[in-house]
Amino acid sequence: MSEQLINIEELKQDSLNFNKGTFEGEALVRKSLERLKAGRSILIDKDNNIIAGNKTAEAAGQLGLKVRVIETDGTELIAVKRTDLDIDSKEGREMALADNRTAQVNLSWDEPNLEAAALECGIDPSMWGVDFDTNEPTAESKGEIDVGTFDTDQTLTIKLTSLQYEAVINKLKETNPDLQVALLTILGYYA
Amino acid sequence: MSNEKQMNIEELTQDAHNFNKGTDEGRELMQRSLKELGAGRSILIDKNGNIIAGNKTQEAAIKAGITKVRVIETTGDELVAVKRTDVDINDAKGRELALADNATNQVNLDWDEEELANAAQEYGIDMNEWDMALPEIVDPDQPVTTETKDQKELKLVFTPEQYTFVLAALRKYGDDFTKSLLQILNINE
Repeated sequence: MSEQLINIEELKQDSLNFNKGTFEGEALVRKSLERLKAGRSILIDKDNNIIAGNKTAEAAGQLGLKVRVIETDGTELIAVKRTDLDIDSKEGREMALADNRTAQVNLSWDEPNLEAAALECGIDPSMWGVDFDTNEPTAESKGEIDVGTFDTDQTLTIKLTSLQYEAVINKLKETNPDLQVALLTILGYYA
Repeated sequence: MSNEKQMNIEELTQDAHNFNKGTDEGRELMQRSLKELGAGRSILIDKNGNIIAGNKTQEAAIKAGITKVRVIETTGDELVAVKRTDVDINDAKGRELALADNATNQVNLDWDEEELANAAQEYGIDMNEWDMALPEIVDPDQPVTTETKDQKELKLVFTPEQYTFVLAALRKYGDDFTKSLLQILNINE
């Protein structure tokens, strides 16, 4: 398989990108590239359309980076080896952190684009764990659920008085010592 | 241009202090993606072959039957683009690759609070620089309470799928989730 160096302008942004990105995420991607330089690759198709990494390419373009293209048919894994990095160093650990964190903060699903792709290409977002129900009010809008600042879609917070709290804990523990499992069991999740 | 070599996938070393514990659902999605769509973006390794980013991808790739890794050496001054010569973004496979890339990242992320705290201390990493505040990280294995006089907060951490299920179940009893939970557990208010 061949390898070539091209200008980043030769890559094409995805006009139907499923990810709108976020303001905070954009800033983190830029910070990561400026401070730690390029990490994992992006993914492009046979015509240089960006499949994954549109936001990374945008930020890299602003910093004037060139692009090294590695052709493959997907039967092997590609590993970008940073010969200047040691994982057991501040830079190595920050790179590991930045990879996870930028992906987390910079994701904002574009529902219309997903729906359009589902119609055009017959893909099913729910098969990839992505579900939307725009008619349902969000948890935050209810006022009763305080969504955690870290795992925004995973932390359920319920306000209780001290007496209620103790009663709830005792009831849940009667079902299972793991409170998460207990609530899921009571609600019929495992049925 | 760089040195490029091929190696066995098992020669790569997993990160013993990975910040991401991963999830069962994420592992399944990743394996399915690799089996059905082939490999997408690269992983990232350090100069000694330790995996910096993509530990879970390497694990899933082995399970999906991928045996070889092509290593592209760089010092990070250029962006690497993996070009799938067999894929068109405007067909189902291309779109699914785009979807799978975002979805697997989202579903498979479960921060390891202890490893983050250790790294912050050992290497002097300022988590605030990455929009993270360690005290706010919730341990998914332990309920967390916050007390204010007679008020307490019960915090439970679920996978996205479980979380959606729990919300729907609570809403069946009304929009006040405190009342819903108490009603479900037969506790008098």
